[in-house]
Amino acid sequence: MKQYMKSLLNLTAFELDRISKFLYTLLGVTLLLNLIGYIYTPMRYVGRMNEYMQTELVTAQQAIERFGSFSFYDVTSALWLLAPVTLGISGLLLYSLFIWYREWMGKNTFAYRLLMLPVPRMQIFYSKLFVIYIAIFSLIAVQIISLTIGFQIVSAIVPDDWLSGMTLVQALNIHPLFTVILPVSSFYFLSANGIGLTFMLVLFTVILLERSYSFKGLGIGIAYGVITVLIAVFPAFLPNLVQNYYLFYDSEIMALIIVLMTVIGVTSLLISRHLLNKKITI
Amino acid sequence: MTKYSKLISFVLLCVLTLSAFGIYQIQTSATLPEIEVVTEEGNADELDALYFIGNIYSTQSSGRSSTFEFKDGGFSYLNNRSVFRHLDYVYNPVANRYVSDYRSFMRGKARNISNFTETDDEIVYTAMASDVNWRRMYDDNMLDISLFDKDSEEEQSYEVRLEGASYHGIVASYYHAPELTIVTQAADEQMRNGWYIYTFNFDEPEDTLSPEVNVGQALDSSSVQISFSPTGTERYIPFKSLQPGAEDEYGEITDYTTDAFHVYDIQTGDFQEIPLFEEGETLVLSEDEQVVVGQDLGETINWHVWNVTDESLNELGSTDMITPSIGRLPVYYYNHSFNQGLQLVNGHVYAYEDHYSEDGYGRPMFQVIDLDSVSTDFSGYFELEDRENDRSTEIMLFDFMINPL
Repeated sequence: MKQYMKSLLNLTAFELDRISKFLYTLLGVTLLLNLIGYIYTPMRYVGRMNEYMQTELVTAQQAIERFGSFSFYDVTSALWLLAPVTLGISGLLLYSLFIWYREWMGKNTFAYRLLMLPVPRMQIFYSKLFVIYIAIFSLIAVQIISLTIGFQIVSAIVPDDWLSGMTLVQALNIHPLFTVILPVSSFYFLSANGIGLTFMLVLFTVILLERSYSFKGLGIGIAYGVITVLIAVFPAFLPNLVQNYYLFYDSEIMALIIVLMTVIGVTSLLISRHLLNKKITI
Repeated sequence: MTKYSKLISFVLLCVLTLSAFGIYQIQTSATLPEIEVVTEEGNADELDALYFIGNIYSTQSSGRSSTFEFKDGGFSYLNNRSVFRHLDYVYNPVANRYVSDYRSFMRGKARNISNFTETDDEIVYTAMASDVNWRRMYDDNMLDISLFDKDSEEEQSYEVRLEGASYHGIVASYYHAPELTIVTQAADEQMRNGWYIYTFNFDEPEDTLSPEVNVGQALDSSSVQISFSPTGTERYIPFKSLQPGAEDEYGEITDYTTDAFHVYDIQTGDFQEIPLFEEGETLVLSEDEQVVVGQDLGETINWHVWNVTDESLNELGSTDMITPSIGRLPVYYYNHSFNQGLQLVNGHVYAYEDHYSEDGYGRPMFQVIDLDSVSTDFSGYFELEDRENDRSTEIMLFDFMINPL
């Protein structure tokens, strides 16, 4: 067991080394764009308020009635914060493909050495999955740190009387994106991560199918992906199918979705293990 | 160790940040304000039968909003429930109680107040097929009826075809075993909207029902409203005929005046007209075998009992109302009914108003009148305990019912 864990840690540390430059870039871009958003968005509001007060000769209260008070939600809704999140999600999605295909790139394919290692082949699978998740959670952690500091910056730029009094957590709670990707609501956060994990397991399975059976494998993989999506969303359409929106309680629909996603995840793991151990040729 | 340093650093970053954020959330999460019943007159215990779902929200921030329920004389916030309990929660006090107490019976059944009638021993469910499949088709004439015995938890179900009109919507049902009287709003052959009353007998169930009466035709009125029924056990159903008033620039009628009140006797199938008072507005409420008529003079209401035998009024006395309009303003969500804020349950009139204090704060206000003594058993309102220091939080009532049982 100890040896198993050690080799898994070695592989994970190795994969983390390979992703680190890409991850540092994502983290850097996130921090830089966020910082611009924390300064530019409130400055623009303050500038607009001042200009309105000077040109229209009105009080700050009248200007607030015109433009509304400023909240941190205004910052979190700006492109400066949304763009890095989108970049991070799409970047890691692409890296999830790259993390496998890079092994077969070039003349002397690295996959040959990797698959010949005297460790269970599923450890390669797990190490790649762990690294993707370490990258996801690192981005989340850095985004949280950034938001916490950003909240202080915004509070310092905008006069207290012009602020709505909304706290950081309240601003995140009503944000359609941050309430899902950050651990603001445990339900949404766990749901998003559960869906994300199942998606990653299916994606890795599709990649391994393609690696095992080439074009035929790609077709099987796409079909497998489509079938898993249909199975996962099937409970949501049950009320429509049975022509009764009250036949199943919402908690039962949710429980069914969780069970089906677990089945999809476990099935994907078993297929991947079979492919890695028996089908993938070097 | 060096080769793991990056791995350990990233994992530590994630674990420490997420943990710290969790602690930060707990520390900064505002405790939800306490709500209290402020008694102006009488005893707050009179509100034990009141069940409502409400919401508190900040006028300064849309992010601060919490839903609570008032039940058995106490408050509880819904935020504290588990996700799975929350998913099954119905924002309708009656249906929510049924889902909680009779989960199996409620499976597959619509969850509007008008779909249920309850007695001490039984619950009767009445719904059109479109109430559960959400398809409003012209020929939706199939009525589902279920009779549920609370003790044995046995259920009898029937599927009945309604004739005489199409596109039915259940408005109310009244149960006097073994007969069930169903009031629907439906369209006639010319697609004119009308009110229809059907009767179903559980001892002699039929597959097809013809309307006992077309209310609009019987009352010779194109615009009719029905009294909101909190119990569904009354013998006399009050109807109000309306006279269209002025039209707006688009030709839509914007206001109506009361033309006449009638009560429909479920047992005889006849209507009786209740005369309007010359001074003030007329109020008509009913419960079981009793029809109560009020002369609304604003600050006071003179209460009478309608004698159905000789069609006369017997005066009970008058009650001073805590506001000139409490109970008499429409509550928007039952727009086809009147008496939305004035409910007669167990000989008590419950009057509700979304009242505003002198400072401009909304506060749900209730007055409970005992019709035996014609006195106020309770008057008061719901308010934040710490209103002095919380001037940006408002209370709003979504929906309320008085549990007659």
